[in-house]
Amino acid sequence: MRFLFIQILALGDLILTTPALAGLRVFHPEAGIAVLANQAFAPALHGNPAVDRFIPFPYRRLYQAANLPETEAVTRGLADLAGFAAALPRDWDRVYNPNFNDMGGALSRLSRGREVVGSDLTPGGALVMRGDWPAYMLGVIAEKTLNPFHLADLHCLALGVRPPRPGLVWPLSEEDRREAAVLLQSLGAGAGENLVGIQVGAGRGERCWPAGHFRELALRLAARGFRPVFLGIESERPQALEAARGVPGAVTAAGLTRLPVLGGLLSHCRALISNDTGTIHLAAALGVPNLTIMLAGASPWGTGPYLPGSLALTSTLSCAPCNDPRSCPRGLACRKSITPGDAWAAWRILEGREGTLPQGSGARLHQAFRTPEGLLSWRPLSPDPEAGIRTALGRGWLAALRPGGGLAAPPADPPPPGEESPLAGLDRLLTGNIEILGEILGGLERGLAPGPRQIQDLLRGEDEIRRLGLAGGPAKPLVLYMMNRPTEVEAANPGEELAARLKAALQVRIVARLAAPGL
Amino acid sequence: MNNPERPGPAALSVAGAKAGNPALSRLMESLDPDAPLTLDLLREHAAPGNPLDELALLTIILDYLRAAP
Repeated sequence: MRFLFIQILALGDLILTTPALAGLRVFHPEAGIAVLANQAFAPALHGNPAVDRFIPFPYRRLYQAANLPETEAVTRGLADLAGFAAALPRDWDRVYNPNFNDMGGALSRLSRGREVVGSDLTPGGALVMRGDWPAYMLGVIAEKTLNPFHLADLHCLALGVRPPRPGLVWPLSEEDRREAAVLLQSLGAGAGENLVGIQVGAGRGERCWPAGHFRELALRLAARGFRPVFLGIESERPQALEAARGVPGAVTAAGLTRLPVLGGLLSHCRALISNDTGTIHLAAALGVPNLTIMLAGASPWGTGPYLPGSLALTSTLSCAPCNDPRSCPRGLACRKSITPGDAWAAWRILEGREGTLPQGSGARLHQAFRTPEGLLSWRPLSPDPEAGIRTALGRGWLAALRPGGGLAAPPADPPPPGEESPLAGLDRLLTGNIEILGEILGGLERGLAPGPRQIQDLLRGEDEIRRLGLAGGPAKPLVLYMMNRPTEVEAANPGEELAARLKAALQVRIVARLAAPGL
Repeated sequence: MNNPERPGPAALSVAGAKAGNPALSRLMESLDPDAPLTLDLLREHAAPGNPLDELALLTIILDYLRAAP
């Protein structure tokens, strides 16, 4: 079996695929597993025993050529892309591609997988997400608040695999550690000191906590005998220098490290304090505890540090985590709602001390733990009004969506009469919708076209379901799934399309019924 | 750098772009050789409903990269 894994997003996204790759290797020991990813991130998979072949995607070069003036982009840019396509191996047995964007869909199509799980283009050119769990992921992109699953686990669920050992993988070598120790020495620090990594920048600007806040935190750390090591890429060096200004003993390694050396540096640190960016996943892979400040669209459930014991600070603002930080009407107020005092209180807990967030804090604090099912989840260490709903939905989704495939559990019982639940209304609408779909499909089997009344009832029911979902609350992620899931079916076959809609409605009803008692 | 609508010098024809470039020549077989080679021409070729050949797929990627931050 030849298996292609496409992950062309950021470094952190690539690291988050490593548990699924390890699981794939265990489930298909004979398979040839290749990964297509940004060539700049090749060191992340160097020597990974689950990966037989790394196929470099020359993102930077292709991006630059594509952004030349039009006449050059359509010649040079296209010729560069043609060169890449010519070298791309084709005809895979299975392609997994969680990149839901046009480029992701086109890459699935170019690589010609016999089976695609995740992002793909239909022959008609529509972008779709194939598979139950990938369709679920698509809903998470649109609505993060009630998602109980980490992206690293979602990849495993999408493929129906489990890694032999939980956790992310990073190929740290002794040479990387040595090189990092030499760098530290050149900056006046020793590898054996009480080092705490601090990552001031982030791939997305809106996820950056103010450098002045990091500086305040670093001053407190220095006063307690810790030595802050400021990390980051070259473009983040000015922020790192600003945060390190006046902090006794602080060293600034930002801009001085290649990826392997960054791994080496982190391995010498007792902990990492960071914005939500790729470095947290590298640290988590190395077992370095994280305190992550998650702003704007970042949520610990989806992309927090994948390491039990790690902590995540989020804002209590009702809009957090948001879906469109670039048009934030509140001027990214979440960046200010988490204070250095909050982060210091969290740090003390990370150190293993008792503590809580300060009175009146605008932050929430969660700690990562592994569930009995082996998934990473987050326990609230401060009030979290959504904790119960999230857990209840998680149980429902795990029962309704089979890892690696389709409908699993039989329909659960309907809620008892008179019981009030935010999902009871959705359940009623779904039941009506399922009945009509069943009637129409039964008719089609007997060669009878659906009547205008049936179609009208079906559309009215679906419209009501959509309106209920878009109004928000716990029904929203369920309705988003219902809207996303059947789109992969070609419209040419109405029976198949209706069957897909029926299956999605049945799945969502299972989730609603299993989650309702937990609300 | 990232402005999809930026003006450029006058467009080459499809035949002109293909000349001496085997990769483009193969890719653009189905295009009218006399048509000016523009993004709009490629986008039209890759429009939903048209066959998704390699040129269409690469145009989708090119367009995505031009719009990427």
